[in-house]
Amino acid sequence: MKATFRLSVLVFLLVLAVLPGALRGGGSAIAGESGQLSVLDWPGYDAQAFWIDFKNKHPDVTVNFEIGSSDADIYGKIKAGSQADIIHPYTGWLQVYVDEGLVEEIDVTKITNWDKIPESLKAIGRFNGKQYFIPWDWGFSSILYRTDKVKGTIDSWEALLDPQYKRHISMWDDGPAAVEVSAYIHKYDETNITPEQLAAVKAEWIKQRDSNLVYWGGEPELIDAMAVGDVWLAYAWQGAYAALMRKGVPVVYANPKEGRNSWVGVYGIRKGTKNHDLALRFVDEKLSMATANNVVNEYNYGVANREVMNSISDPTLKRAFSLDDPSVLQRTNFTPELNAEQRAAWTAMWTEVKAAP
Amino acid sequence: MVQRRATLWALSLPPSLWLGLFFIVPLILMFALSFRADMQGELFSFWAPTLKQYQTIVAIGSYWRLLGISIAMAFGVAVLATALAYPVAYFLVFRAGRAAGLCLMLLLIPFWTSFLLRVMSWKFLLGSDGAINWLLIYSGVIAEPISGLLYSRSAVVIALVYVWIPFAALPISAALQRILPELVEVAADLGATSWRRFWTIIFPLSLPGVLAAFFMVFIPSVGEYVTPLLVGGSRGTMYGNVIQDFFTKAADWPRGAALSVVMLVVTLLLVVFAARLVNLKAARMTARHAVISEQVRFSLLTGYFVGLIALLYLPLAVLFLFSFNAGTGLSFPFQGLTLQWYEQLFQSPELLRSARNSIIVAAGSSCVAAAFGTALALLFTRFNFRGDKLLFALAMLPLVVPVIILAVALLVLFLAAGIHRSLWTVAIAHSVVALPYVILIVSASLAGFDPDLEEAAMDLGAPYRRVIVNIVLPLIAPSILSAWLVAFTVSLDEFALALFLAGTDVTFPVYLYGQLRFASRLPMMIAFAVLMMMGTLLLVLIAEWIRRRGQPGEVR
Repeated sequence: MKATFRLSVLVFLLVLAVLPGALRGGGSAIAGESGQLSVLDWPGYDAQAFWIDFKNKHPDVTVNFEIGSSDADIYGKIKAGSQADIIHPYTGWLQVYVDEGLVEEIDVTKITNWDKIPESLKAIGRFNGKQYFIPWDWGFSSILYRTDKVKGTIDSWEALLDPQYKRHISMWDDGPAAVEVSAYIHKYDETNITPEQLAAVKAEWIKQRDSNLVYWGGEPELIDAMAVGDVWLAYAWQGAYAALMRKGVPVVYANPKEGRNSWVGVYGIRKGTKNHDLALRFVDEKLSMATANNVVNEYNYGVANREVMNSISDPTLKRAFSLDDPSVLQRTNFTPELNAEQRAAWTAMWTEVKAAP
Repeated sequence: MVQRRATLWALSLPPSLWLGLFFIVPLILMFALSFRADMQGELFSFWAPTLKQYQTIVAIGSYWRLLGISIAMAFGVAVLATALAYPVAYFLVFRAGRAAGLCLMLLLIPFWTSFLLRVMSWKFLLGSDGAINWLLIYSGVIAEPISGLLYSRSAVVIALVYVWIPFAALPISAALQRILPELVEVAADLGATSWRRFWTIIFPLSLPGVLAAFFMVFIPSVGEYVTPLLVGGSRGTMYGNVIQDFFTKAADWPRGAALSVVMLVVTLLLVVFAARLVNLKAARMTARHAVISEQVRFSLLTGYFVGLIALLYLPLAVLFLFSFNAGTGLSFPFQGLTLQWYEQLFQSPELLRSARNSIIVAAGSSCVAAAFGTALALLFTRFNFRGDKLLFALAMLPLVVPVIILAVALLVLFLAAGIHRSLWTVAIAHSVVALPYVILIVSASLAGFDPDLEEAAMDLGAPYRRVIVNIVLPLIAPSILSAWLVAFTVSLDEFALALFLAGTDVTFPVYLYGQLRFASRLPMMIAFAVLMMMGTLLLVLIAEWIRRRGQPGEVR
């Protein structure tokens, strides 16, 4: 019996050793050869409309997409050893990539669309005087509310905590977003939240839970909940605003006195990529006209190409991006960069809010 | 006896290796990760083990409270789902007659439509301005819309029960099928009322199936996270959501892993405790394959079954309706009729490709799971060997381990081993996850199976492997088939593993998730879901029609 046991262990180890090679089979070396690019991007961005300029100029290059469903997911895949050449993280996560040396510095002289990017967005991707990321898509976070259900004008982030809208409020399911809202209200420095402040934030959102109906995860979920009348007032991105306007739901996107929040999506190049030049071309072409226009029209996201934004004529989109009132963008608060410790603490805080009695 | 040992090895080695490679190794990896301080630095280098994660978790009382609540909810869900599934199983075995196969398919087909889409359509039905409120107000029953039908802990329990009933019915019906009709007839002849016949004969004999159903529902419900996200609202969070958040929001794998280990240990202790109270093997009884032929007649039971079918198909009907709506999203008012979503659908090669991928993965993984699961079920019910309890626990473990853990662990493993991610890697993971379902369903059938038949065959000189092939397998074929169906269904709508382990070729749920980030894509996905469902229904009905034509002479 002992002998058979040993034999089975041996066989097991043998299979363990042989299987990787067998499974690897023909599909090896997807990344690494010239003429191949691998992009670790959010779901949806693999559609050709969102890289059509690159496709047209480099028809022979095969672009493979690996999907990351969240920033944490993209970061995790890179940490686990993904060989993607290009990544697409959002503000709040950039610092960690730079701190851990996961991205390469970008030579902006090789980016032909560089001059079309507003300086405020360029600064987002700059760390220690070096440009690590090229900004691409951006948008607002603010309070979106139904004017037929909410009386009066909402002009402060405090509305998200207001018990008079009991069980009709919807906050985004995100710890850092909750911390930022509290920071705006109480004028905390959101880049330097103290443990005491974090404890206060936690208590505040635990209380808010009685007024909150649901924490939304994806935009369509929020849009449906507002359209069907369950949610009257929510933390929302401009895409939800545009979608509800198109449906004919009476909604307003607030201009809180503390300023709206803005988030920016950027492209970065993974350190150690063998396709650096091709990756640069890809990132550059992301900002070209057709590609940039598609993201504005199909996803209602803003882009970092000033010319594209200035050419928007659709009144719904103009309102969604507040293009008529440049002061809105000037008063906005960009999502702060967090280091790994801060992120862990803020997310832990949020799980404790949700787990609270 | 020597032959029997050879059979033992043949049955145990392949599934054990499979589980070892694709489940135990990644699990050990995650266990090791839970002793890491944070995510900084190389993931594969040595790190000084620390208890930091566990210390943090122990100190947070609300996590423990939430774990308790989640276990209580899972217990409630399992009891309710098993109780409500029993009549369904009874109907399938004793009342459905020749239509049993069709009825089973009708129960499972709704699950081939994305859970996400089905929940969205319930939200449309139950929302403040939704269809049911509109109907009630229009008909004058109520003046103000009823809100709060959704978004609560009870909503989570109800939704989970609703989802589990059809699955829980399978092990129960597997056990019911094995009950000797003569037993019931004798009891009837002796004057036992039907009520007494049920409680003294049928129910006790079906207990192995009931227990299998209970655990099949209870164990995964403890770590549930999707349903609370969709219908739980602010107060519906479960422990699984906390685990999920550390993986998908914070990228804090050590913390997520430690939280999972805690849940794993607690759940396993509960299961071991419960397993001491009941023993699947001890429940083996003398019975053989038989179908009690009672007249098919409309009864309370039939009404119950029809009602359940109606509830399962109601959200699909809503999707059907909205697939022709010119507006986007599931809400009134209807903005005109259109076929444009269907047109769009056929111009979307990515969508069709992802659907094809899903079917390939589901077919492949369910076959592997059915084969290995049946082998293991035979082992657990027919052999006594050293380590059988351990192997059983290991094979059941995929039910307890949150899929996100397995997804991350397998990702790390595949990347470390240099295995290229593809539909193969997704299918491997799905086969592991589906394994326990197959084992539970097939075991329930084997437990009620008459060992005399096998002994008789062996007395006549048949080697045990021949007994398995010629006698056992043909007799338990129906339950293998339903186990295969469950494995197929589990794979078809699985998201987390597919997201992490698919390479550039994605499955339908991953594609759907990507599309649903943006409201404008919803109608096309609904149109596709409707098309897929109609297609399957049509296929099933045609198959049933052919089957009936093929047996013209059979008496009902």
